Amino acid sequence: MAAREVLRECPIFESLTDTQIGAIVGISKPRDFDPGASVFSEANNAEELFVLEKGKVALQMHLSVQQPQFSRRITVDIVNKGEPFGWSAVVEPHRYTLTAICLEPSKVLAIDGLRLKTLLHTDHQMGYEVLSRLINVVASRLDETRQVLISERLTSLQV
Amino acid sequence: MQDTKVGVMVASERPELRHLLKRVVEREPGVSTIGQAENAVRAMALARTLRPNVVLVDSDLPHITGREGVRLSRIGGLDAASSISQQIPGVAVMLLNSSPLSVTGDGALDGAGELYLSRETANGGIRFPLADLLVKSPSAGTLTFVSLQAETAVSASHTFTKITERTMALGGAAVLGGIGLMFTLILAGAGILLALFGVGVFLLGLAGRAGVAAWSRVQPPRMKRVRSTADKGGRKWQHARSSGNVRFLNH
Repeated sequence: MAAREVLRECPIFESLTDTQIGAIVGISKPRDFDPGASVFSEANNAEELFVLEKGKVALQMHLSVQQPQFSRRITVDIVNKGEPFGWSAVVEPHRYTLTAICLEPSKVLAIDGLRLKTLLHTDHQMGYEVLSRLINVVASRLDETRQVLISERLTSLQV
Repeated sequence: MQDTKVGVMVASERPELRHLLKRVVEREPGVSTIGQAENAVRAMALARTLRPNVVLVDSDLPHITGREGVRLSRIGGLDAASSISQQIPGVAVMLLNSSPLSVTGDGALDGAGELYLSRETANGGIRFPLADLLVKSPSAGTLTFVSLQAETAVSASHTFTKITERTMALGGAAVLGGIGLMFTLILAGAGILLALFGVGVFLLGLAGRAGVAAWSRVQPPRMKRVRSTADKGGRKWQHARSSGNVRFLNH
């Protein structure tokens, strides 16, 4: 699938004009990942925003506890085809808050975060459209995380 | 390898998928299913108790089940697989990508023939026997990503569908090409006719001109009155186009 079509299917870019989409295509590049590969890691510098073209990606959070042997990563959300992830690339302090692990052979479109921010500053209408939709993504991730924490609490009560 | 006893544990929320996976893994000699789990918590507990050689986990596994009014994300598969792999030494853990599966109530896959487990990579799937996982002792935290593939019915129908699609595409291209060629030939024919017509008209014009010239040579020059007017001196003159001379009428 062409980069332009991938962006058209992504909820945060769907309302943009052809010219605006073309500008984002110019700062994007496709990447392939094997199952189990990490697209990015929690606390690393967030340089790219991703759109999943094919496959499935798990977003995981590191759970630190006092005994290191019980520290582990828990999945807080699953990214499906057409969805964006790695929003920290356009929001300060530009550090990924989660780790992204591919569950299937995956193809992603990687958008340069810094250049995207410049585009959003230059074209205010585009900036408003993209950022207002990005907020929905962040809110959705928070909701999923909340559900997982509820599940974890229920589990601890159950066991 | 015939005498190998491989104990497998299967974890999936869907009973029909568990049944299907059991059938698939037990087709291999020396392999038997020793436990089944319906959620991540149960899978981890069962794996600690049963100590299977292989654990097969559905990636869409919920973390827990059975709580009314609590919406649960089906995201426990990876967590359960990672935890089992890290906490139980020597167990080979496989995470099953089950998203495209459409399993019927009796544990069969719609339209599928013989099913097998395929190791997934970015370049495609590779069929492998479960016993292969145990040749080298699995390292902690390492997962094998697999999917269910069908060998005969689906593969044959898939191949046939592909061939049909390609044939149709080729036929469509041929029809379009033919129409294009026909259109080009019609245009070329019309162009040739137009050129011949142009040549004919040109030759006709040439013949006409030669005829006029010949007629002019045969006929004596005639004075033709074109216009009559007066110059500044009040003299009237007549212009004869055929000879180019000007004669004054009143001098």
